[in-house]
Amino acid sequence: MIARACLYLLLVLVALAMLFPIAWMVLTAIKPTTEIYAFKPTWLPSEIDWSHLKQAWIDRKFNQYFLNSLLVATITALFATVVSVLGGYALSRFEFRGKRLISAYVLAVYLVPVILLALPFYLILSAVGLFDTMPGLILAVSTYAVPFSVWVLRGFFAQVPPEIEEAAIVDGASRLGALYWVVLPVAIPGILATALFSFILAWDDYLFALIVVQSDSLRTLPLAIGLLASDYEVSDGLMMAMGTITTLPIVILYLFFQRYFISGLTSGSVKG
Amino acid sequence: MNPTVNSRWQSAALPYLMLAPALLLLTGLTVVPLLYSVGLSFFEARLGHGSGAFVGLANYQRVLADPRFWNSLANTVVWVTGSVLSQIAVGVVLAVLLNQLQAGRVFFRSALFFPWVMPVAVIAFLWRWIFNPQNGIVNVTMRDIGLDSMGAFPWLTDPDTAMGTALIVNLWRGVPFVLVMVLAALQGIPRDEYEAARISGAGPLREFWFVTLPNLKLIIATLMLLRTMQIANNYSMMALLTGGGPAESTEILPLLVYFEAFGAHQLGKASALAVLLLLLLGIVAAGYVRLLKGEQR
Repeated sequence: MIARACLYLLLVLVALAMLFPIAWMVLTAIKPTTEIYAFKPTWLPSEIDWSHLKQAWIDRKFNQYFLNSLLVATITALFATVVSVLGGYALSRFEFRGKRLISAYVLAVYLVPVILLALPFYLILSAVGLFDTMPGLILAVSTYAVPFSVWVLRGFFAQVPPEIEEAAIVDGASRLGALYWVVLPVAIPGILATALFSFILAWDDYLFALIVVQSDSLRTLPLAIGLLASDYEVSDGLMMAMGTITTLPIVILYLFFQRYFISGLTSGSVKG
Repeated sequence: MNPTVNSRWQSAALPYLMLAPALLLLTGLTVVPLLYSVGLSFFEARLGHGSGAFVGLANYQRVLADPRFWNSLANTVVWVTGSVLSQIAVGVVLAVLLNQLQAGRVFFRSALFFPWVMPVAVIAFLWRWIFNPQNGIVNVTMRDIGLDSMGAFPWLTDPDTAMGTALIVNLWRGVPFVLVMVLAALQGIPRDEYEAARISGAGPLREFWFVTLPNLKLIIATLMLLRTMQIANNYSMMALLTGGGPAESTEILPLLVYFEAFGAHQLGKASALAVLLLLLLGIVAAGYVRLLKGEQR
């Protein structure tokens, strides 16, 4: 009994330690500047001060960057998921020549260091006129998302019992028809998990944005944060407001789809 | 064409057609740039000057003769092994503790997992604020508890502590991933193995040692490989947390590659460095895979 209570107490302390930094970011963002820099800073703000968030959103153009990030992450996630549903399904359901080789190829590509791709990307995208464009950035960010998604979806499709599509094919459906009408509905949790992860990978990207984007109007949130950090006029309260804005969509997705996050991580990415 | 032949041809081609978009993308976005990088490493290529002369292995010789390369290689080894070992140790312990719970397991798992999905750029600046010398909460707390000598200590900008502090930040980010993976593996351990251990009189420690750990070997080895790759390749965390400083004390290989390419405009040398990083990781990965195969037998 006492051991049990100690265990709960310990885990509560660990959870608090893990969540404290995030809470501290939000608290700093909504604190009046005088309280942030006081010799003894307040734990909780005496009043909620929206000025840092407003400054970030309007003066520092986070409304624009937010939209850019949203576009890049959404299009990347949709694109990567459609491509990977087809590829992952083929790898998990068909027997064909070169299947093992292709599977190994996908996994090998997944492990290539991104920094190694960054240099040629800069040159290749410049050569084809996609440097400093949104499509160029989306293509670059897909490098994280596609190999990962093919690999995870291959695992998810393997868990769908083949009998259900065999039944559909016996009933006269084509192979693609069976995929669309019978397998996809069953695999929705896996597909959703994969799309969410692609969205998060794209939302998180800093390196490709740093290399591909030059115009202010195309900046994504992580790039904007990185660039503004060296501006001495940007205060700590403002930095934390920018961090809060950048994290908020992830919190919302997490609250609504949390079990998909964890199932996506544990069922696809390591097995197989 | 006879309809049955047509449909047979279709079903033979179908998997390739379905895979084509993904394979085209993977090849165009990864393999072509990779080969391009390897090619560049044999040329005297400077950013903005077009491609220069073929120089054979000269870029590699320049890299190997550069003390900055050896410094960043040593930093990379410390950063990667320190991160991987600390994250796996803490993650496994927490997962085992969490697995003891009868109620609230899902709640704790959700709370503890969140740092993993936060954007790295946010994590870096959040922790720079926490470790801020004057107003950061760490040093404010130091002053509060009377450790005034530490009251303005520059955690991330002192060459002696920058790496250690960065490892703490990475621990915070990486433990959630390990925790969730290990927890899933723990739930797959057959109950009767524990019952058998209990019948033969094993206490909780012996149970952990003789039942839990052997069952976790595979997931731990897999996680070690995965985290090694992820951390060794990650540019953003260290770039935004310390920028490689102070005095190059946290400069890891991805940062040096970036600096050589976009700071010093030495594309050939940067490519040679990146290829060396890939080779090193390939060797490490091959070692892990051999180990894993040996374990499974």
